[in-house]
Amino acid sequence: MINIEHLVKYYGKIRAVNDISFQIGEGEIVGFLGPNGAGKSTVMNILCGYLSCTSGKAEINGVDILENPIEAKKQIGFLPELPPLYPEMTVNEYLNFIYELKDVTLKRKEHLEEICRVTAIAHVRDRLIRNLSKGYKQRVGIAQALIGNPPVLIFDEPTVGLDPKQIVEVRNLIKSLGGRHTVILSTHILPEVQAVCDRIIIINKGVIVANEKTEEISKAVTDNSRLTVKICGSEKAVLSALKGLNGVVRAEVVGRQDADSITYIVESSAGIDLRKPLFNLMAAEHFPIIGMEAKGLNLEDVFISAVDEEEERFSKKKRKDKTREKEMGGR
Amino acid sequence: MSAIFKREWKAYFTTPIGYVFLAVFTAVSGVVFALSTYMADSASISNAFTLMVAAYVLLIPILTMKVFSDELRGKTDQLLLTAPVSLIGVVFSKFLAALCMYMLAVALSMINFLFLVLNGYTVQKGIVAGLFISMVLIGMACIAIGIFISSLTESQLVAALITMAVLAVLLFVDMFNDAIPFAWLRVVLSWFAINSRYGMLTGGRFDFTAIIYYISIAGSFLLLTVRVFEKKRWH
Repeated sequence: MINIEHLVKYYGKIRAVNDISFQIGEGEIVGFLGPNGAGKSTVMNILCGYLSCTSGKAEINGVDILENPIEAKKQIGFLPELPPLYPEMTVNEYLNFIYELKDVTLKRKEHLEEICRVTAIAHVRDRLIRNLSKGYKQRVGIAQALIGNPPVLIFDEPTVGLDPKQIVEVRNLIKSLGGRHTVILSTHILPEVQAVCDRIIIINKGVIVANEKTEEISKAVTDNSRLTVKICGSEKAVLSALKGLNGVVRAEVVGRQDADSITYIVESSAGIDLRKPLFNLMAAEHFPIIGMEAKGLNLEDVFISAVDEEEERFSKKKRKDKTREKEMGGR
Repeated sequence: MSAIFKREWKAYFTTPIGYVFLAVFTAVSGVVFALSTYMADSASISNAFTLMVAAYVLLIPILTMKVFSDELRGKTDQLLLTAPVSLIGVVFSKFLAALCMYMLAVALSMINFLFLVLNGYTVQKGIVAGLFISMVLIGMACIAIGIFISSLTESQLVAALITMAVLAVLLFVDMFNDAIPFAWLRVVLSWFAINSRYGMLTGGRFDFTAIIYYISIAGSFLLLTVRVFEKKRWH
């Protein structure tokens, strides 16, 4: 459905997107993650035809966005970071304008009614857009992207600035669009990607640092190899017992909330679940466990480690290049 | 394309801009016409026309200042540029809406001739037609310049002020052109002297050089506007 090959984009001398390639299948919901300035919005804007790439290829449903922009744009519904709304129009006037702008051939009345029902804006159709709340403006923005039933939907940070209730509503709405549409959404909110997306693409400094199925990342998130345990007893004795347990690779104190108990972090080799043997050992040693939690990695950790790994690889490469240059200079 | 034209046309009336433009244009044309014809006891309309064109320095920016700067400020340009419409289509639709608004104002100002006739003066139809066509052509060129400038900035105020300055130079250049010591510069500036050509039209005869001149100016600035957005796309 979406095919990106060796995409490069320069802003003057700055390389914002550096040789990115990925494919997205029909009906998939893909989350774009990355720190500010990573190149997420640039990739989205290139896909929508708002920006042109310096080199590479971007195809939607087999149509190249540069070779046949009008045909490619017909396949896309785009919600930019700031919903593109005309405040002096009513919701109804605005949706009719978009319907005509996109030259849609579906039955106007039924189609617009359906979209208003899906986005839950039917009751505000006669209101001026300027008088709507941020949440409703966002919904109208999503509604305009849905007009014409485009097979691809691109949402740039769709939940920014919404209250928690609105965030959940918009998230559910996006999730319900998967299957019927291919959806790309960019966000900073990591649990949002986990809740909504089938796949996660992490971008940093214009390069893809991770492209994984959400389940793979969820496995890391729910990993039982890191435990936080609150145990009563002498610190020295407990620590030595913990370190003696089969499979433990790290055990250390992380906090002392009260006089009686100490909180430890215990890490095991990958794939070993320490919860039962740990309980049995502490019971045998008469050190009561008063709290235990599988810590795992959170999405922030996955995100940061992916970004850090890439940065380390980049600086290593830079160091290597410098050394090689020095050697060549020496010769 | 028609969707953008319709929205633009409506927007002139859902915001105060359309009403302000029509009111100011009609008032200025009425005063200018009255001062230079029946109050001066003359049926010569060339003075009225010269004064009216001078007033375009203030009138045209009212019409064009928001055309693209408002889209840039509200980020709605993203909507237009990602819609399945050509860039030329977007620019031309907006230009056409502004031109129609301007033509409505010019048509309203033609009522002034009625007062002239009612006061017993004879008015030649050919001259009135020539005047109307001249106003439309000069307006077309000025609107295209204003639209181009509004595509360069997010601020309506900045767009209006720059348009005023540019139109002032282009409309009054032949007044100070003789004082310029360099012959080549005088020639170059005379190409851009918008109001030096309309005399050929207001005489009641068609001068195709003048018509092509105004259409070329309008076309060039509309193409420059398209270039502004293309450049943004590539940089």
